[in-house]
Amino acid sequence: MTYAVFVSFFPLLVAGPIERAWHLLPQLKKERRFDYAIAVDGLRQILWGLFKKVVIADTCAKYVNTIFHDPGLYSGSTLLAGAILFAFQIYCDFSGYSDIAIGTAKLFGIDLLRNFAFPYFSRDIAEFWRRWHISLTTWFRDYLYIPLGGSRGGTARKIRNTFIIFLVSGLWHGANWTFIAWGLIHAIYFLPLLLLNKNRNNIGTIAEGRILPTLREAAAMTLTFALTTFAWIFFRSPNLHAAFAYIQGMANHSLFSMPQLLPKRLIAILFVFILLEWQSRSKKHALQFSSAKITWPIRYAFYLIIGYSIVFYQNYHNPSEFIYFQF
Amino acid sequence: MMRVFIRKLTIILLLFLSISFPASYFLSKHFNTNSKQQWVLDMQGENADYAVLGSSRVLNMIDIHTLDQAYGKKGINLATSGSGYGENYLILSKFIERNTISELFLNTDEFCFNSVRSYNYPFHEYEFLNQFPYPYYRPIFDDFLPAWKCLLWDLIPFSKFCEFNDLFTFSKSNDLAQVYSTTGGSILLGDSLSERKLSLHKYSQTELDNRDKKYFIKILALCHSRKIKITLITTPLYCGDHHKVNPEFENYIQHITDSAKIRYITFNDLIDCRDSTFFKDNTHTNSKGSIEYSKNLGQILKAQ
Repeated sequence: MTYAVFVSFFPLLVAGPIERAWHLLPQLKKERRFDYAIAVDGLRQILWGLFKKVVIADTCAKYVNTIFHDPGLYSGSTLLAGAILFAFQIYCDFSGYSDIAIGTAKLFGIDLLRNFAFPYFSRDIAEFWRRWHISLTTWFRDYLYIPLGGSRGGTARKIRNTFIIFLVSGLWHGANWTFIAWGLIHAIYFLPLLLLNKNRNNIGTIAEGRILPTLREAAAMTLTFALTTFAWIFFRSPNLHAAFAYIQGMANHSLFSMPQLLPKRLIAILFVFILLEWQSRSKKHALQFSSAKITWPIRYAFYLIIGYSIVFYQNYHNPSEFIYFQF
Repeated sequence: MMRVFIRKLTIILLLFLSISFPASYFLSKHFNTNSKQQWVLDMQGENADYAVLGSSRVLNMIDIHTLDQAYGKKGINLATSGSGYGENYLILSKFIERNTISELFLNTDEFCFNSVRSYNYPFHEYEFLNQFPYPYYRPIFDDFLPAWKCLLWDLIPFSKFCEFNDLFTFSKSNDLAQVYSTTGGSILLGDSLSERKLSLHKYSQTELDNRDKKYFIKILALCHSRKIKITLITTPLYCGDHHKVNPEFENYIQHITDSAKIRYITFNDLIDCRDSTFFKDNTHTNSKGSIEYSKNLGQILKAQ
């Protein structure tokens, strides 16, 4: 019975974090009692997940779909904006689902594996992969990378294993060359760090104990975001030809013009979103604030603002599916 | 602890609900402000000799300026795209509350009498949500929408905007209003020969919808009570070499026009419906056809 619950636990179905038996089975076996703090935290995480999906991901999707549908119509700066918006869309869409799944499980007293840890605040690609889709990355590490020999053996084997891991990771998303290219690009990004033995340089939280990052950290973070955004172009494009055409359209003098589509309200929301995620980067999600530090009127006002934003941005007649439902 | 959790959750939900009432009032000022319906509903103190009312087959096919010239009177086009008689009644009742007309040309065809089958969205409730529950509207909403929806909108006014939240316009544009003011409410369709795809319309043999009949009669009664002279018109359809009408529709109109002594002008002699250059598609004329039809209609009206 416990095993049946493990394989059919509803928050995990479709696109939830890839849960391990060693982590979930013991929790299902033991008696659980209602825990106020965990339930409140779960509800906050659900609320934040909904906000990310409905307000940010779906709003970004409107622009992203328009731009990627016919990139030839747009200037380089608009295409760049489209790629950046897709980076936010896929993060908020997928991590939003994970937050909803993890928060729902918390209401049942179940602690699921973490799936995202603010990946866009990573200082290098290795750190990005420790923070993005964690449950899949660790699954690949345990069931593919280590059985292949992992980092043991010579340099050639390390390189081979890295490429296999990233190519399989791309292929996991679907049988399309664009996903293979996406995996390959990440393998190429990862390789220098591996060869220089710098892939575990950035383990802790960025700017821990400080409000702002150092200039070096900010530059590293921006570069990592730029690299991942570039790779997302391949992930989002329908085929390799379209991806190259998109990049070609971006790389010309029109890159320095004003974008044709400038969603001012969305940019303002993204700015607030980044600030909220930044201040929570050492926590599990952006709404995991201490009740002792923030008084209840402010907390409640915050919940209401987020709640109304979700109602205001939801699309009743044309709801959009979670991107990862297709994988 | 479970009790505290539920209590706090209830407080938040109640807070959410209580804020929704003033929020709803505020939002209603910014909801769907740029539509044709809104342009008509906002109108005040307009004194026109006549108005035309109906669906896109009147909105697009009667050019008010041409009809004004040919008829020698001043008119206004109140028609809205895809609207059945329920919606027409709603617009007319609100319009004549604050404006005056002495004559109404009401479009009638088999589509109007079967709005559910003919139109993608038979009743555009979202065009009137910011005025709900205006007394005239409620029974019409009840007829066309599920009961739970109207009840929910009564209890939690904010909920009516949730479904159509993409229609909020916080920066009101007067562009459309200006266009309608310039054209007298008509919107003529352009034409492109390469795009034109005409095929013979297959006339439905389905029964006329009782709701549409009910509001058709209510429009006639409203005009009668306000002493507004009513004329039924059927705008052109592309006929090719032959022309068929749903017999039930024909019989019903015959019965109404005979019993209530209402004038009925059908398109048969007003435009050559076999000439494809007059049409944008099977059921709408292009600007050339609309101008021709409006001119001929005006001349007939003037002669009578």
